[in-house]
Amino acid sequence: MAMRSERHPPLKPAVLFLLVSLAAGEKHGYALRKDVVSRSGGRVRLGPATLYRTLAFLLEDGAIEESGRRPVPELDDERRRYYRLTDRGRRMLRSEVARLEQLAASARAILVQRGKA
Amino acid sequence: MKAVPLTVRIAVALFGLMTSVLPRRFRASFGPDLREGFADEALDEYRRRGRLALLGVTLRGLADLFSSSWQARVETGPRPQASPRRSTLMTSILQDLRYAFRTFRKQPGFALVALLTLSVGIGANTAIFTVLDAALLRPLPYPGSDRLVRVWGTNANNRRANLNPLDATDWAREVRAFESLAVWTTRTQPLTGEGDPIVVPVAFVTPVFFETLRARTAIGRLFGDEHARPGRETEIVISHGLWHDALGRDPSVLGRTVRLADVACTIIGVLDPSFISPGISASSEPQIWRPFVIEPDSSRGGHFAMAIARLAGGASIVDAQAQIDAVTARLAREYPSTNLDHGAFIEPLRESITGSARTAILMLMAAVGVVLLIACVNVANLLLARATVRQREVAVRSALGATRGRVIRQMLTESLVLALLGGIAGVGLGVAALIALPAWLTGQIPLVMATDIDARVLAFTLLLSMTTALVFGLLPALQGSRWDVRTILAAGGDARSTGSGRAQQVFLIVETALALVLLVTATLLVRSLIRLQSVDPGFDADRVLTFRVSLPRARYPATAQRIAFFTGLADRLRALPGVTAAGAVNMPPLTDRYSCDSFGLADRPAPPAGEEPCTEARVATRGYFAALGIPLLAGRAFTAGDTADAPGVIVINDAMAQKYWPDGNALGQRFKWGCVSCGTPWLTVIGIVGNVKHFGLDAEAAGEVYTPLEQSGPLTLTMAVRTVRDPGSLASEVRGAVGALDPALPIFEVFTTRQLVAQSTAVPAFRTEVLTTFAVVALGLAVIGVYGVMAFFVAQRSHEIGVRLALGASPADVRSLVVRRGMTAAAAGALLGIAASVPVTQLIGGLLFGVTPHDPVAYGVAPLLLLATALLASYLPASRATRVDPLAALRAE
Repeated sequence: MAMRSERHPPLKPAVLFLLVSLAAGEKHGYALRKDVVSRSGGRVRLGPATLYRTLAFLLEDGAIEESGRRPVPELDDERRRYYRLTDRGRRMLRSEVARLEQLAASARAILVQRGKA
Repeated sequence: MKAVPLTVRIAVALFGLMTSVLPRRFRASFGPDLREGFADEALDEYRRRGRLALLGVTLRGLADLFSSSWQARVETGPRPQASPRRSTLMTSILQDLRYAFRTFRKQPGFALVALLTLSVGIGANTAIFTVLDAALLRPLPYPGSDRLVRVWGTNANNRRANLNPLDATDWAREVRAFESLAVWTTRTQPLTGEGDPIVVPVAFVTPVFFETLRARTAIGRLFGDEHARPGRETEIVISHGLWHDALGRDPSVLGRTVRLADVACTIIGVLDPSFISPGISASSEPQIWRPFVIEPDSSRGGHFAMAIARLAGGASIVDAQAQIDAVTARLAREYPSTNLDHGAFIEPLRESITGSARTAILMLMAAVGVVLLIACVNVANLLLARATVRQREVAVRSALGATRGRVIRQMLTESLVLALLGGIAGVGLGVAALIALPAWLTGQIPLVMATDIDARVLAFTLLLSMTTALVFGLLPALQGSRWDVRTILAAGGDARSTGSGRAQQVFLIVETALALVLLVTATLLVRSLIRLQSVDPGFDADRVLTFRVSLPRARYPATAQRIAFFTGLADRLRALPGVTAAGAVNMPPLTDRYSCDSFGLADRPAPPAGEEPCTEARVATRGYFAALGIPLLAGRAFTAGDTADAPGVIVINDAMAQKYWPDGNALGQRFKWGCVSCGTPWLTVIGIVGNVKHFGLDAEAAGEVYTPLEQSGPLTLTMAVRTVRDPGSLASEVRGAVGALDPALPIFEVFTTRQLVAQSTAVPAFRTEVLTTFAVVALGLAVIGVYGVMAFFVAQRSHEIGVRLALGASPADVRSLVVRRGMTAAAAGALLGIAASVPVTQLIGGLLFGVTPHDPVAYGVAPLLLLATALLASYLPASRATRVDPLAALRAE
């Protein structure tokens, strides 16, 4: 398995939202899709196959893993697999957020300057 | 586990099937989760937003599958670690597949047109086959259903009439060929005591009814022998649907009391959800079953019941018919006054149910088969054209060592891939049609309540697409492999000498002929429908709302109470804003309600007893003729003076007047219900009104006799309200008017008269719509065919055309060269199509109204339409031909 360097290229929106959603708690596939739709205000919709393709990519990359733990039994559906963020995934998300914050800060500075001019 | 609706299950199954497009490894690790997630989403959307949303989710899901599969393959690329031990056959098949996909991608136009053509043909076939399967092939939903027969009463005019229940008990007792015979009759009754009053269809059945059908209960029990005798009439069995919807699936429902027509009834059983009652359309499927007690001293004169029987082991329909004929003959001797001319007719239950729709279903199946055939011919033409173009490529491959078998297999693989993709897309289309349009189908064709695509339909479609590929792929493949490599390579790949042009021309003629047959048929049906819909129903159908009110006998025992209620209601209705007239009748036109009652006339000798003529009997209120806009032709209509105590009067319709008093002296004649010597009072004809198409726009008007409400006093009437407003907007106000008089009374069958007229032509309108759609699709496919072949012809002959232009031919000459070729085929196809249409239209003669099967307009319009579109389709390639650069053509020489 190819290990990627910690400095990764900017994440695609779908990947970013998946990581955010998993950072908030472990979920199974369909719950993830619904969560991404609501978090993105409906802008990011993952098709069923696209979701699992992205998950496969993240699994291979080591950013997420299948969760051994299950939610409380009555909410659980044993046919489903749950996913959670790994430490590596958390670091990826953190560095992406930092990158976005940097970008946002510099953009804001430019806008503010322009506004004054 | 909650029940998952059928449509959702179909969608999920389709999605599951389609996951096979994903790379194998990916599918192995995520397939089940993918399917599970999709199932959740599909169910969610279906529950929240219905069928259309489900369709959207399914299509989006499938699109996502395909695009993901594509991307996954692009990202992974060919896997070098694939096992080297894989058989060479497998390798070469995969090679063929990859090659096929690559060529499709190189010529997306070809692949797209071929796929579209095939999927339309296969999709339509799948949908229609599913319907056909449900209606004609699948066994009826009763155990041992091939032993079930419908028993009809017969009379002098009708071989499928209602029967007398007492006669039927004699049949049940004496016909040995019946294991059991059950009698039933239906009516609607108000159900109160469970929320708002509702009107439910109720069936009165003899106790053996359920046993005959081998029906099962969900809970409780069904009727037993004790229900054949008086005393248990208030015990009822209810449908699973009613238990579910109105009674909240209450498990303690057994023993509970509900009020039916104001009589307290006790629920003793709930039927299994799978139970469907035989021979009753979906709209009036009974919700409640009550015991039908036939008193041994009841009259043999009334014919209002229906019967179903199960043949005893070893007995045939012929035995049963012979035995029942003997019984009816004995009854006719014993009771000549009532049973003369009354017999019985037995037919298999399935035929009695699908009989009337049979022609229409077979016609649709034939039409859709023709569409598929055209689609196949089109694809064959495309494959043929491509094979010719690819001669050089094939020659190169052969020169490089490909065997003939390998070349054929490569070409067959391509057509198989096309056919399979077409089949998949076709099933998708078919499913979409069945998801989006079930309401269109149910009610139009009996027994189409559960149309789902099952394994057999899938198999049928798959077989169809495979056969298409083999048959139409083999011809070009064989041809393509036979070419002499050296000649072709030497000639630089020109394919003029192959003779495939002639095959194309023949295909073209065949497909235009087929399309024309459909066009002629559709034109005939459209013209017939227009004729039918422009028939004057005999009343003014604009801006009238009708609804039915039924008074419970328990609370309205006296005739005077009923008269007071209905007159009071009519007065209230007339007082509503915008209402110009209001009245009522017991049997409104176009609603399947009728009653032919015998009568006697004072001005002629009485016929022998039992041979009295009968006429349609109606009860109407004063304002009825004005409300429906039925014109008064002579005399007067009913007035307030025609009370119960006043001299008896009737109003007759024109048909009745013409039949009995053609000299125009009907007014003042004396008439009596029953017979001249019967004890009924003499009635005087005071008016003549216009005929109403009571039995349907395509039926002759029958003689009708109207009695005033005050001199009759029925429990149930249909109110008719004429308004200057939109009649549909009146519904809540009329409900209020009824509620003000009696809050416990429901109103039902609320329709505008426009709706009544539309419902009466719904079936012919439906089959016309479907067939016209097919004809348009067929025409479209034929046009694509003409265009494709002509475009190919031009491309192939560009060299020759260039030479002609260089030698001085004008663009018009070139254009006419191409157009003439296309039009020759189309004209030959049109002639062939006209010839083929003659026997075909003869077959559907029974479905036509006011048009002969050889209607000159249809036979004129359809070929013209075909030729005009063919002209257009060949003109486009023709004008491209004129733009061939003669210099370029010569340089290539």
